[in-house]
Amino acid sequence: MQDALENNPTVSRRELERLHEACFAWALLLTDHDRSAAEDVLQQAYLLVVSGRARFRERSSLKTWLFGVLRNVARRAHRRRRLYRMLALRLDTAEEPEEPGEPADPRLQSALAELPPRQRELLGLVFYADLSIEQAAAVLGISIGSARTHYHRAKQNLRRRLEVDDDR
Amino acid sequence: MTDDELEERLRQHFADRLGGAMERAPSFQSTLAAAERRSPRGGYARRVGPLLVPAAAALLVWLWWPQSPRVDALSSPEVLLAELTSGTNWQAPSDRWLERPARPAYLGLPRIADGGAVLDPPALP
Repeated sequence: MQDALENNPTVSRRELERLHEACFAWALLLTDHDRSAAEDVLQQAYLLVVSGRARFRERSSLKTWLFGVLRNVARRAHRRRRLYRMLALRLDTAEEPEEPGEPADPRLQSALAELPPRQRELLGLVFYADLSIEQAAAVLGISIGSARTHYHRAKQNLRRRLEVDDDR
Repeated sequence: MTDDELEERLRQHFADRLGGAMERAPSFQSTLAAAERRSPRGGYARRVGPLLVPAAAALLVWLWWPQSPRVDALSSPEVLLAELTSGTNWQAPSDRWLERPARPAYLGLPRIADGGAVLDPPALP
């Protein structure tokens, strides 16, 4: 590989660049559209990849693996922020999250917000990142059967919530 | 609402929601450069962390060991100096175990030192 990363020889810089936008979108979804948090997550994930602390062993596609790294970084960052907030230190929360603007479909947005995080992440991976359920399962670190269950429950929950809204 | 309608609505929603944000996405080069400038988080803790547990355990044993010359040494540098230079007042760890105080009799439990005899429990008031 010509432009392979020094500490991660199975990852090429060009491949990483090709996936950059998809990674940023995934980071935005993971951070609930907090742009600065998403950038921070992306930088930390790239640091792990460039330094070789997260090593790609070609057990899955690069995109799936990278999305998994991003998810782990985002979860750690979220836990840290929650801890800081609990301790009222507010070290990481000096900047208020940027408002993503009015969603085009507010009812769907609020229905999505009420879903459990795993179901929401799964729908984002499938309907935005265009991953298959199998690939999404690999990103989330769950079995394919479990991912299928979450996927169908998520759609059921959404449909129920949207229909309740329609009835009102 | 059919399954296809819901799926289409979801696709459209995610595209709308992320499309605007993506227009202002940081470039790959700037993100990578920023990542390379960052120092790895927890680097120091990762290097020092594994040493902390054995060090704490050694310190606890050192402080807890009863009647050891080392305990005396804590209060008297002269004793420490004498111990370090002579090295004769060392007591084997097994001796320390034999000298530990017996289990309190009021528990009414057998003691090996008493030949395993069960002591009478205290009379109830």
